Amino acid sequence: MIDRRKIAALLLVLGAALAVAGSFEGTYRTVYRGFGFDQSMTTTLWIVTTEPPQGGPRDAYHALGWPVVVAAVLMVVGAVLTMRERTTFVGRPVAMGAAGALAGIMFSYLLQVRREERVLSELLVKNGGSNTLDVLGGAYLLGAAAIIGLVGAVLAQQRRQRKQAVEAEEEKVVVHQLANDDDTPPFGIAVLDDEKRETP
Amino acid sequence: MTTRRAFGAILVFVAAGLAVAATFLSAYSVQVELQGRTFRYEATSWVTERDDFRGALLLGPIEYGEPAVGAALVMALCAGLAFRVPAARVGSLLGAGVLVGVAWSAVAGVRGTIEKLRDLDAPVPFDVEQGDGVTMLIVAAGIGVVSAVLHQELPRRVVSEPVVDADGVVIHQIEGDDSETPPYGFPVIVEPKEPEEPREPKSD
Repeated sequence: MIDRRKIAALLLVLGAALAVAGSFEGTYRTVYRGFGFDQSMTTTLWIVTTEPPQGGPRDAYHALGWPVVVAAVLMVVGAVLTMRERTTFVGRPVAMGAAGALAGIMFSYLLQVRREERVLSELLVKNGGSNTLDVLGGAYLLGAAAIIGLVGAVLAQQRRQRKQAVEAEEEKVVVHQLANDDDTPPFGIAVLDDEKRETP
Repeated sequence: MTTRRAFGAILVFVAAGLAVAATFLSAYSVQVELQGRTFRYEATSWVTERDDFRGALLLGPIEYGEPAVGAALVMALCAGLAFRVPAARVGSLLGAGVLVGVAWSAVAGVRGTIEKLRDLDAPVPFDVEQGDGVTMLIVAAGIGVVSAVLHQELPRRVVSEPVVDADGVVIHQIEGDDSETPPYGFPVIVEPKEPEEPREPKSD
């Protein structure tokens, strides 16, 4: 039981760490070949760096660094809270919500990168060059972080379900059937009324 | 199911509905006044609705449609399932979390568009506006989180732990209002008895 809780917390922390690390790694690189030279742009969740350099790095168009960091911090908070018996009931929802948020961010980001790829391939026809978009390690790292975080959050819920099942069983009404003829009949034992009380 | 949890479940459905509706509303718009003419770009999360620039600005929809609908489905299904399987309640929280992530990404997408257009160094300023879709998505995410937390109903059962007395009998104290059965039951309205009494023993 305790082992599962530890594994869940460990997975949540691992997911959070991978997400933060992944946000600083390059997620994708676009190479434009229409300028006579290869202009490549490497994007992280924070900044875009160009090669050859053009006036330093600038903010990424899909700057999701802060959302990822916030989700990761909440995942760690959730993991820590689930470790303590008293705070487990707060930790589980926090972990689940945070892991969900990270998954949501990554899902949106993935779709956005795919759209970028589509736009690039349309651009290819216009200027005759062959622009490319390569998905880099950071994207895989972030994807893995989201999945690991979700698994951790789901594992963290497990114990409550079992506890609830036990509680539900406890709450069942116990009906005792006594195998004896002295039992009270369903409509009670007929009371021998006094004649006086019967007549008004 | 308590009133609070039922209320939470209903709000989860509301949030899911709003999230789906948000994907069909305008996500953002870009407008520019040029020589007395107005050029406008407008897109929902699914398609470009209007593009007077004919693709020159390389603008496109902010892709939050699929994740938002996915989150709404998870929320609604889990809230529905939770009426039968209480453990499914946690799914509404998962959906709400996803919705928050998606809403934040959508806002970041609009910000990114503003940044992108600023980088173009155009002589005329582009007027970028966040659409009703993104605003509604933020509202849906907010309602989603509140409703999912209500839906969980964190344990208060410690107060009414079953008491086990000396004979091993378990006594449950049920929290409730005054409309419950009083300890000695409700007084029975006695109707005038009929002369015959069938259950009386006929020993004489």
